[in-house]
Amino acid sequence: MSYTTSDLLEEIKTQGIIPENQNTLSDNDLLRLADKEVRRGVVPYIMQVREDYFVRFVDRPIVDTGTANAKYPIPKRSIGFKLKDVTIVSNANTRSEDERSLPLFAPEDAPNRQYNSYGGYQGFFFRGNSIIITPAPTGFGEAVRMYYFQRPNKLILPTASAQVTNIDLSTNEVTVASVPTTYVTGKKFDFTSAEEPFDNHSQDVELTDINGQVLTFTSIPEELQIGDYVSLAEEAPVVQIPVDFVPMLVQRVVVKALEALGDSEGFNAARSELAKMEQEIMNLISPRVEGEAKKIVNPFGPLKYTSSRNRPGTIR
Amino acid sequence: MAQTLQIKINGLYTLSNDLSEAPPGSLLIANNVVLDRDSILEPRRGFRRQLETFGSTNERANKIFEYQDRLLINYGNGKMAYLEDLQFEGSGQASNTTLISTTPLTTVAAGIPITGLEIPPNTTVSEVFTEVVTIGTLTTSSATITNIPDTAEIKVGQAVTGTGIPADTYVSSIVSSSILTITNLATDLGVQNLTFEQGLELSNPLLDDVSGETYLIRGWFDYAGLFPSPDPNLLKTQSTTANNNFYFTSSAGIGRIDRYDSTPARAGGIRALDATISLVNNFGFFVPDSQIAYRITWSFRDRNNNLLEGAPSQRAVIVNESGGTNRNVNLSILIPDGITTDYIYRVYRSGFSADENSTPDDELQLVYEDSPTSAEIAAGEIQITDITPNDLRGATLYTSPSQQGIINANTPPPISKDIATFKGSTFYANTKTEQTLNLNIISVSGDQGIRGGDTITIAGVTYTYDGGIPEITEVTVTSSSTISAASYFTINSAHDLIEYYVWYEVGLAGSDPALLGKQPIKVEVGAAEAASSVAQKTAQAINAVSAFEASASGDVVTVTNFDGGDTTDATAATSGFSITVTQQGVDGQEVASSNVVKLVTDGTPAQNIAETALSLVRIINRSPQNTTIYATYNSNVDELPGRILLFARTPGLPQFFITSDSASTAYNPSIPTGGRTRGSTNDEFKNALFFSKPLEPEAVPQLNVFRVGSADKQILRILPLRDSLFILKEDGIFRLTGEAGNFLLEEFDSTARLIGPETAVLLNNQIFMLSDQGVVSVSDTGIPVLSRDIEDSLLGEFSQNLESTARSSFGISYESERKYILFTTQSGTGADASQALVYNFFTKAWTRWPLLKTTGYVFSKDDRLYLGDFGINALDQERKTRTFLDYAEEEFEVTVTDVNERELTLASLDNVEIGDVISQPDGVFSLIVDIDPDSNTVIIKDFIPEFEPGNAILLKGIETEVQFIPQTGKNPGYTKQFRDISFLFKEAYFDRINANFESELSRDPDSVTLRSSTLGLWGQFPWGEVPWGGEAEITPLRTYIPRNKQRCSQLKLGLSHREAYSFYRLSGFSLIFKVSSERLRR
Repeated sequence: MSYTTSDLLEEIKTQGIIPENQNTLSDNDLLRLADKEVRRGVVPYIMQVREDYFVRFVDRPIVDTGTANAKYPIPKRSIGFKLKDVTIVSNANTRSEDERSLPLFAPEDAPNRQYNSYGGYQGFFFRGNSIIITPAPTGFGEAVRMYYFQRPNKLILPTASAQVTNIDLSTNEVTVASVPTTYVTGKKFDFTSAEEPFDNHSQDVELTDINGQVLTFTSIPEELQIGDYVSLAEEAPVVQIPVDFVPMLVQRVVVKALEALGDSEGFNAARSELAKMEQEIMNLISPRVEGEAKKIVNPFGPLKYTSSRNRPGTIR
Repeated sequence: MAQTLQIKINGLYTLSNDLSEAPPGSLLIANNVVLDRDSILEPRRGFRRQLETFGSTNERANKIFEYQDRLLINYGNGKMAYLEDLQFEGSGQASNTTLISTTPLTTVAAGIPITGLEIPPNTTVSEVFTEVVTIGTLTTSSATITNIPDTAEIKVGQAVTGTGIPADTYVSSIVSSSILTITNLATDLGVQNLTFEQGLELSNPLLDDVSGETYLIRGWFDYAGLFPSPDPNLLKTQSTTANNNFYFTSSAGIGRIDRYDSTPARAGGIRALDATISLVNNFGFFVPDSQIAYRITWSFRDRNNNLLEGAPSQRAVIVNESGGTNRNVNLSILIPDGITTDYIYRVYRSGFSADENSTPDDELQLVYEDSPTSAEIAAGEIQITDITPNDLRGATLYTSPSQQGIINANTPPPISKDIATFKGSTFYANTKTEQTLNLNIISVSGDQGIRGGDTITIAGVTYTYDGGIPEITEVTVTSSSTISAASYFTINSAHDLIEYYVWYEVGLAGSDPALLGKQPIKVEVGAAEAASSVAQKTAQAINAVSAFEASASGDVVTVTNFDGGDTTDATAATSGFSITVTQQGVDGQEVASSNVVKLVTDGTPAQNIAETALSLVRIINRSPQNTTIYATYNSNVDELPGRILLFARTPGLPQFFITSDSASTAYNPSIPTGGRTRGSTNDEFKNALFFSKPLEPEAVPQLNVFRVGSADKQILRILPLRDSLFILKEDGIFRLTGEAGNFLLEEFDSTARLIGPETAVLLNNQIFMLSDQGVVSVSDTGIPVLSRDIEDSLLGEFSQNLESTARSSFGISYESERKYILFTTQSGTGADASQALVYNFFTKAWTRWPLLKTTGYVFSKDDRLYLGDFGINALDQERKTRTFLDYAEEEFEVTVTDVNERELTLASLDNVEIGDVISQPDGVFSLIVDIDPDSNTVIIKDFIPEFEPGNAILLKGIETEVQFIPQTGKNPGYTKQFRDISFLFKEAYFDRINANFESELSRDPDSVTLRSSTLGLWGQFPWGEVPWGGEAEITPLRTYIPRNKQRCSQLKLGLSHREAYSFYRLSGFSLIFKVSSERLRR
């Protein structure tokens, strides 16, 4: 089944009995409403079950031991500029990957952590929209890994995106069905899967050349498939939420549309329907793993690790 | 949430408070739509510009008529034409432009389209060939023909046949009036009979040889002549049909067409002129001691077998004196202008009078009838001899006292501005007669009367009275001593009217000899007077008698008769006198060639006046110098003699004047010796309503007239309903009822005045017209106002533009569509009729068509509306197939140079707009949805493989627009939020239509394009998938109200659409809203 924004719009219009011919709520208007509802309604709703939906991470390589590297910006796609966790990882993305979590200090406790001795505790605190790791990490080949809740891409019409029709990994060239006029070299792009769960294969990839319908990027992800989408960074023609939440998103948009149109009767009926949907859908996503009861583990407790080396916060 | 469900549509309503008074569903704008079905709004049908043009490119149609299933028009400066499909058999040769016909094509004009086998498209007639049969001299192996008597009628391209002329030979050049060249070399020599064949020259050569094929010429064929309206500034040509003839008004009088292709003639019979009669033979029917009278009529039987007998001539009376023998009578009948060999002249004769001194009565019966020959017409007179015995006289003349009387003579209809037929009579309104002048001779001869040598000048032609030559007698007398008492001599006045004897009393001796039958003239002389003295006294005595003038010289007395004329010579009855006639008296003569009138003096005064007047009439009618007037002797039996009516031969001739050098007492009223003070008049009666005899539309006796209302207010129109003839005057409306012979005229309404005479039409047994009260319908039951709903716009026109509105507006009666269509002016768009206000008298709804046209008419044969195109010299024909094909305007030819699926490249984008349809033969067409001017490319809605490069037709879409009165949710005092609207279409066969919104808070219109849910244009979906002209389900098209129009107290909503071959039927709308605030403004 297709879950493009066109399908979403069609569903919204059908569900909301929105006229086929009208200018009051244009497709862009409805997409803006849907996008807004994704951010303020659907994502928070999903996140409240704390089942790690939308969790992504980014590794910030530690290349120097200078103090300057103590500051790491929070990923710009992070919802609310908040993080789920911060770790130091070595051998990232390899079979021998080793990861240890950093504790969160209060900023006022940071000065007390400014010593540089092995075996000491290392942690981080927030300064603005960055984290400060203290003591500053110095491990060569390691990286600071930030787990965060990634904001779904902004919804756009499929016509504002380019669908992949051919891929040449060797030349980093992608052939697309049509090239929107907004595509210019130097801009950043996301490669988004056309299959559920519509993850971004890669993000913020720079476009270096346009030749007809052939786009050349600085890199292209190996996961990219024909039919996937190439969109301007942070945009996507698919809804990046669990597809089971699409009806709820549709309903939320309908509620907002009816509210905007002053259709109080329709609004009340739609809101009542939305409440029922929210109740029912809660059971779908939580728990995320039915077969396993969730165990609460203190990551910093003595039972978490057998050696101090692997103890979180231990400075090596 | 509240709803306004508007399922009633009521047409335009712009006058009163639309918040309280306007019926629900009323419209503020209703352009190019109709409301023919209750509460269903749909586009009007389109108009196709006809290919057939008339006249020149700068001429426009003034008026459209129909007759014998053909359209007729009056156009330009008064030309008339009919639209005809003319079929004929033709033959020709491939690659040649000459088409030889088997029938004459003289009525065909250059430029008329022609179609048929092997004739390329868009071919027209270039030249018309008339058959010329003549002779010419051939030279073997030469292409030159010489010695042709006249080459004037022969044209280059004309086919020629004859001995020595090879087949397929045509004229290649006209060298001179006797020489021409041909396309092939002659095969013989010498003088040969040649035929230059009739036919046509075509604008394109024939594609192949053809022989005896049928060809069709379709176009406007002009009638000969000009027929401008009698009052072009106010009223166009009017017409009526009676006795299967077509009658129309013109400045030259009423015209008649008795077959669609016949030349128009002036309606009305031709009045017979005088006849000269004389006795012949010494045998015959005419018994002595009696008089008989004659009248002559001219009759004409038209192509519809209507016999029209004109007004009879004046009476011609002749005497067969007592004592003679039976005689026959010769008649010389003067032929008036306009007589052809198709006319019949009839001679009616009275019975014998009681004696030779008694006047015969006017009961005249037919004694002779025939048609004039061409030779007689050329000579201008017919000579016949009446030998019909009295008992064999035939039908009685219709003007005889026992019949209708002379007062009911069939005089022609007057020039009139309107014409109508009611209850079998044809009515003529607002009339003007030809120029006439009444001339009364009251004295002939003597000092007070007309004398020989007097002249009278009429219409620039001078006529001289010829009194003849007076007799002059010389009487030589002797001295009184040699004259015996009571001696005498006889002498006679002219024509022996009075015979005298002159006797002498000598020295008081002698007595009057008292001669029987003679008057005495006594001369008293002394007993011894010299001869000269006797002569003096003799002359003195004779001079005392008015019949003579005498003088003496020596012993000779010269006596001159006062009047000319044959006279018995004087005689010396006794001795003492010798008499010599030095000049014999001779009667006066008529000489038409030199305009000499016979002054008759040999009868009684009444006879002299009558005979002189008759002579004057004869000379006027026969004068070669006189080409403008006729005269008729108008004194009837028992009336004073000498009455002459002078009248213009044709109605359009100007005023003429009369002068005379006779004594002022010779005529009554007297005629001046010079100047232009005594002139003819044409009776112009603005309020006159003449009517014909029943079933004789061209017979209009002069007493058949009503004077309607005030004489200074003109009749604008006359229109007949079933039981009344309505007379629309400047000072009100009058009604004529009753039957022929018993008509009754009454005032009907003095408050309503017609504005725009051309707006009054008959519809639904009522008269619809534009009046000073707006559009009203006039019927026997009253004059209701129909345009109250839109009165503001009409009254606005009256106040700003009354004169041009009255002149330019015209109405059209569309009975089958129940429509009154009023074309009128529109403020700010000039003085021409640029909009049509359309009223359906069933739905009582007004709509508006913004169209600039010159005239209009619904042709009964095809029940289509035809309009005079304002831009070209052609008519626009309503499309009326009752299918989707009706919904397109004019067509243009375009050329498709390339086809790429939905992209068509055109040679030019002139006239091309989105919403037009492009069409190719065999039903291939599609809607133009986009245009790329850079590449001359249009995008069509559907991919149709059959489209191919070549010629195509572009059909213009009809631009419709409607706007409903403001929607207030029944309370304009609250601000509301209008959320959405559903337009309820009974049928919606279009690609897209625009919903338009305005509010009192946001006045700039916002538009939402609605796409129809139907499958596409008619003709482009399979049969059976959607209803085809039948009942269709209600099709709602729903949309939201645009955001900045949602909050308001009054929402104006409407639709606009422009797509050819598309239409809709709107049944109403449903509007959803909720009250949001009682505050309308900050």
